[in-house]
Amino acid sequence: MKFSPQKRKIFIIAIGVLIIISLLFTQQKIKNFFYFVSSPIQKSLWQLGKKISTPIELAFEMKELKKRAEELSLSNQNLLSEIAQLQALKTENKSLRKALELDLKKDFQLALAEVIGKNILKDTLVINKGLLNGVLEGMPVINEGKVLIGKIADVSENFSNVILISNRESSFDVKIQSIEVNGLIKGKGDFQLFLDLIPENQEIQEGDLIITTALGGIFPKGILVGKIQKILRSDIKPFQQAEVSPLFDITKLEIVLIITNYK
Amino acid sequence: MKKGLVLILFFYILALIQTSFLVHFNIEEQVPNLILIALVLLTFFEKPEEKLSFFGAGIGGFFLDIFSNVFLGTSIIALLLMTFLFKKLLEIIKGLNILWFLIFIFLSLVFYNLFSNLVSFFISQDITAIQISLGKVFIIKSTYNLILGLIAFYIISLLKKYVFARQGF
Repeated sequence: MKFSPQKRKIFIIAIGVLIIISLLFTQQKIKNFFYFVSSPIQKSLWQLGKKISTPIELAFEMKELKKRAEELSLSNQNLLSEIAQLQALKTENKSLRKALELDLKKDFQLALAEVIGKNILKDTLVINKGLLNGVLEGMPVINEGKVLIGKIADVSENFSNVILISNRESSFDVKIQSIEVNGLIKGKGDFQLFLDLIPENQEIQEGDLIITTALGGIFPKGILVGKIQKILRSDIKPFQQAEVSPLFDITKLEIVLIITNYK
Repeated sequence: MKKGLVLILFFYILALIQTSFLVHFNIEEQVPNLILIALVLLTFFEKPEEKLSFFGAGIGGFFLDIFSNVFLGTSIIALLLMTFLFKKLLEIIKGLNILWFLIFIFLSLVFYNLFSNLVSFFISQDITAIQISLGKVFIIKSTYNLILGLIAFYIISLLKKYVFARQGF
């Protein structure tokens, strides 16, 4: 049976469309298979990249490191006096925490996962925990410093995809810690965050910390999100906006914590 | 058949390098899109009547989708459309040179980002998702890709001249 070139083109396109449709229904299984096969290679490549990049980074950062060392020695003196004050507060805080039974472990049920791949271009991570480990779509992902990283986007049997808070599909309610004002954080892609809906009459400052709120029910409240980097004010807009930098370093992220349940 | 298998393996390795190795060599959190560069190279260097670049677009898109959270098929469609447009452009353009190649790399970045943003828009219904930021991040991303593309262009040019020509590629 011979097809004319026109019919052959239509046939190829139809086959292509059918393949793409069938991929949509089996994508989790396909992704799981590829992650399973690739994870040992990815781990080796990860270690190799780390090994090679560290000395190169150090060489590039030498000048910067010297400058930072000077700055740090200055701020160290200030910090020493603050430590003395904080010690007193710590004791007070400890007794308060004990009294209120506000232990982190009591707030969250956590599951540890290893990062096996990072797609910086798409602001996503692949971790080695999936459905079989009790991971479900939408679960928040943090690091050991209680800094928000993102949430589980799709789960296969042994692996999950995490969309970072900087992913374009991510947006959630937050609060500026210092002034207790709510706003909305949107991912802008390329590891950038954008703070919106801050009323004009509120005084926000560069360096202000952003934390999650319980509004919207996406994340538990009080988790660190980022730091205001640049405030964008406009006379024609009723709200202030700001560029926000995430508080985690994606290149150093190797272990993450999945919040499987919270109060 | 042999070329197809080599291409599948090649794009798979590129995807692994992109998501595991190059992460450590990011500049301002930006890494080059190796699959995009490889596909532009393939489209640019193959004979006009050859169709291997379409197969490459399908495979490259497949691996880009596998290692991200997008629906399987998003990048496949984006890269197939992009290859189709580039093939049409290559029929029109006379006197292809390195400058045209770099323009193609730049166009592919813009096209791929725009297409991804469009898909994000349809999912999130957020109009700001369509915007492409042409600020510092985009400049860094483009420059990083262009530099790598430039290096790859000269490597392939040399290989084509001395190795592939003898083997009939």
